[in-house]
Amino acid sequence: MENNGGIKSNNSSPEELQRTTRERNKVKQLFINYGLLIVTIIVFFIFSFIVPRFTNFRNILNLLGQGSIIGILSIGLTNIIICGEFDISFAEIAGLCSLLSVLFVGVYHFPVLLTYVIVIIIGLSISIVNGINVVYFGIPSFIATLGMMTVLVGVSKWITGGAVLYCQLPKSFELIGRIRITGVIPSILISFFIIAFFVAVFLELTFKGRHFYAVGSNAEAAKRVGINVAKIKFEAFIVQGIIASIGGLLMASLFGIGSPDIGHDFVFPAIIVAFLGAVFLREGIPNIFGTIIASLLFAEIANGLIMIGADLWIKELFQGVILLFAVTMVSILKPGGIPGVHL
Amino acid sequence: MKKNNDDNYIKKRATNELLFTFLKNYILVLVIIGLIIVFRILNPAFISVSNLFTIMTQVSIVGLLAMGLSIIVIIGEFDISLGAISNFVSVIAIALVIDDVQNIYLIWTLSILIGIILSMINSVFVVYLGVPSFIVTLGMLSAATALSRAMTKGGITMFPKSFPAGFTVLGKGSIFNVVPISVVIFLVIAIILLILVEYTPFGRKLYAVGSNPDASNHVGIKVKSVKMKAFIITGFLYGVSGVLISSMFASASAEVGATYLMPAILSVIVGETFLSLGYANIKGTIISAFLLSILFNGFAMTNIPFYLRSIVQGMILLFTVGFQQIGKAKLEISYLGEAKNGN
Repeated sequence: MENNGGIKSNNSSPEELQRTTRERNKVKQLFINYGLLIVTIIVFFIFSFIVPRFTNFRNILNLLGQGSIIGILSIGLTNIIICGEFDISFAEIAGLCSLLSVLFVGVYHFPVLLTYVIVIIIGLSISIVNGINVVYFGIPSFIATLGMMTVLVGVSKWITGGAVLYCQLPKSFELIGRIRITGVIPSILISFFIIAFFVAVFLELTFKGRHFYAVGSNAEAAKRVGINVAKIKFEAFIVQGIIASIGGLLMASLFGIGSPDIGHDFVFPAIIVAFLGAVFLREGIPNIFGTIIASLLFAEIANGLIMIGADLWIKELFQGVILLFAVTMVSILKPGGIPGVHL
Repeated sequence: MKKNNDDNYIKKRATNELLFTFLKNYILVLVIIGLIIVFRILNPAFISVSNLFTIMTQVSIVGLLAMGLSIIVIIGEFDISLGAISNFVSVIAIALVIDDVQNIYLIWTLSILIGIILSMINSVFVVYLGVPSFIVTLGMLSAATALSRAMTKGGITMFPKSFPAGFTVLGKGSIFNVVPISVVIFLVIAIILLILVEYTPFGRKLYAVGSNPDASNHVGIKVKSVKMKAFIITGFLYGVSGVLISSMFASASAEVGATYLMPAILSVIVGETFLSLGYANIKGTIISAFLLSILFNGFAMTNIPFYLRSIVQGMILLFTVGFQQIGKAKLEISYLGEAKNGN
């Protein structure tokens, strides 16, 4: 019985070679799986070395708070990418939702809870339109969401007439985003973790979640196995809509103003984080844990660069370089390349 | 008797489908006509001869850039550096003018050569080093923009005090004081390119390489050489448009090129819907360049508020692409139905 699956045999060279190769592959696997985490920790130490204030407890919580918004938006985007589509309008949906919530609460004095419900329904509807465009009409997702983003930019500008809304907001409005529980932990971090937890459980532990991955990895095969591809993709857009609008509510809570341009600043960071998260943990396949760690990493770098007083263009350069790296790696590692972007 | 009914039914369906197919194929032309009517109603001056030529001069620049991008998309790559390259070419041309070079033909040749060289740099990375074209051209975008910024000393527009004889003729001159020369140049190049890409063997090779590089290779098409040539042609187009920009604006800045990026990309995407082709093609690109120029000119001429512009832009993008896709799905379903019932 020579074929014993690599268990040590009589020192014959082929088996030895096999074993060391397998060990080497294991190391590579380990690096790929945990590389992002390792990089995050290394960067943390680098920055804490350069700038002593970095490890200040308050600063860490601050950093985590800022990164939470990007993290939440990326989680929504990750859902869509997992299904093999793309969505460039998510940041604009969040921006519009944040604008609307400030408008309703600050200007029209709606009750806060009612506003939340209305705004989530609006964000959901926008995403449903996206879903219909992509799934029913068959418009390529990049084009469909690009068009939707353009429309939403116009709508945002229309609502505010180009201005930014500053108004008195009730204390309860700031509950989910701004306050610090026990005076220390930013509530926005808690919101982020709650959402991340639910989405992670959904994607990793439920049947529907597995179906998302299946559709994204091979839509044709998924259809043959009996998964309703169209329905799954549509549901991905629904989830994305809910998450984007919650992100918008958190944005409004955190920043306290309604700005029509706010979505624009979050598009690239969230895309970077989603793709960066895909690079490591699952070799090119987007996943929640990667997204969470990547958003931590991104927040670290952004915060650290500010702390060492780097100019704005350095931060943008970094962003560009990281994006290029992440996108290239995904297009190389993931079979099928970057999802949803067909010209 | 039954046969007669069936015949009538088939004839009616055939006519309906013919009509529908016609709508689908020529949706772009119909949208153009619709836009002209709407803008004319809002502002009678819209269809004046002088406005028409204003539109055409815009079309010449956007059209040249969009045709270059179409060729790149046809071979299956992407080029996001088009605006930056043509901007840099215009900067070079103006710099030569400022340096008192009197021979306009020398200036134009050098400038166009720069465009070709930059595009060839792109192609070396894409074709011979195998880097994804999106990444390469993104890098070229940053590099060319940085170069333009450096040469214009941080983006300040360069206004030469005097021009060599005939320099501004390209952009501002007109034949018989009526037809702008830029339009003539554009039309000549467009016709040549149209014949080259759609009606010659070389053009077929472009499409072949784009649709299936492996099969093309097996059939004997030199894929790398074809792609290289495509980039060279595109570089020439960028160079010409850069020269036109410098001549039209009689100055050079670092920002002009970027404003042409989105219209060019949109032209290619929307142009794919022409004749329901679903892939990039020269005729569609030219027509949609025309459509977009009419749209933007109409916005300016009728003073449509800024927020509405974004909305209309997005809706037109969604509508033209979506309409063409609806038809596809419906026809497929109806044919399936016929096949089932007819037997």
